[in-house]
Amino acid sequence: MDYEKNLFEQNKMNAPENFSKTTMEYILAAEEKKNQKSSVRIEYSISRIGQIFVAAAVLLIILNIFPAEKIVQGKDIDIYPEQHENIFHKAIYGIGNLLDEIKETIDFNIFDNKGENNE
Amino acid sequence: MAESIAKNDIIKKLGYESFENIIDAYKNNVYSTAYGFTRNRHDAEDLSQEIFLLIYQNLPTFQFSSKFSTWVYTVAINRCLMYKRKEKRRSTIAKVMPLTDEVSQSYSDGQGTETDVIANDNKKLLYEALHMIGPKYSAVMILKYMQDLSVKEIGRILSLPEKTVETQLYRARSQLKERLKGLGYSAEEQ
Repeated sequence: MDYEKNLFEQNKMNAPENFSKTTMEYILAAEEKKNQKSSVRIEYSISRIGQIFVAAAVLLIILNIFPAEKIVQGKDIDIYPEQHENIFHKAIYGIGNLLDEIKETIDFNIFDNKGENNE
Repeated sequence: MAESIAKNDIIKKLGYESFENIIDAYKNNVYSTAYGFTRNRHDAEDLSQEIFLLIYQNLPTFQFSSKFSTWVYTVAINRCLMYKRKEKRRSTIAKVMPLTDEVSQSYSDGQGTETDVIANDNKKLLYEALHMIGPKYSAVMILKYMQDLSVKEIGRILSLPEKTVETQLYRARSQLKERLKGLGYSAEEQ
């Protein structure tokens, strides 16, 4: 047997007592932790997917990307689809009407004030 | 569930009853390898446990194309080399950011106790010399003389050509002899 072989053979370290048992416990604990982590990760992914779906649905409703179609039965004509007004169009009309009303009110007030001043 | 069945199948195929039997069969070799890189019983035990965990987790990847022992030592030596790289980084950080007195005291206490207990032990001298020749050479020496592997197997484990392994072994042998001589370890002591 050569020098190095002899050297290493003589000085080989022995694992501590109960090493197999403690290592097995360590492995099982690590596996359990890994399983817990993966189930938490799945739960997190599901909740994230849910959140994304909700956000996407809200966005679609707001933007009205897929407008509902109203079937209108016309007189002597075929059934034709009439697209709903876009929510932005409604908002613009609403704001426009509001501005008109405000304008009228202001004008009225000015007129009223003028009248008071005249008196 | 399916993964654990696959693991159990492999364990049975390898001729063992349970993974604990595999640990029993390889614990001394793996522990010695880990000790060769850590020179500390506590760290060697932790590192050995991590190695066995890696072996357990990667059992389904074992292809039966090589000997199981070669595969075990591949996992062990790679994990040990990673430990050395991390240790090198730790020591660099320690140099840049010196430990507080309390921490450095407890750290040196841990190593000091170990050193005191086996200060004059030949074992300690051999592992000290292995540390001194560096991880590259200590890896080939451990695989060759502690695990009794052939040059071809060492080459496969370390992803090196056989010629390179032979050269590294030659250099490692002469460096180890020199270091052991310097540390006061002589052949007559055996």
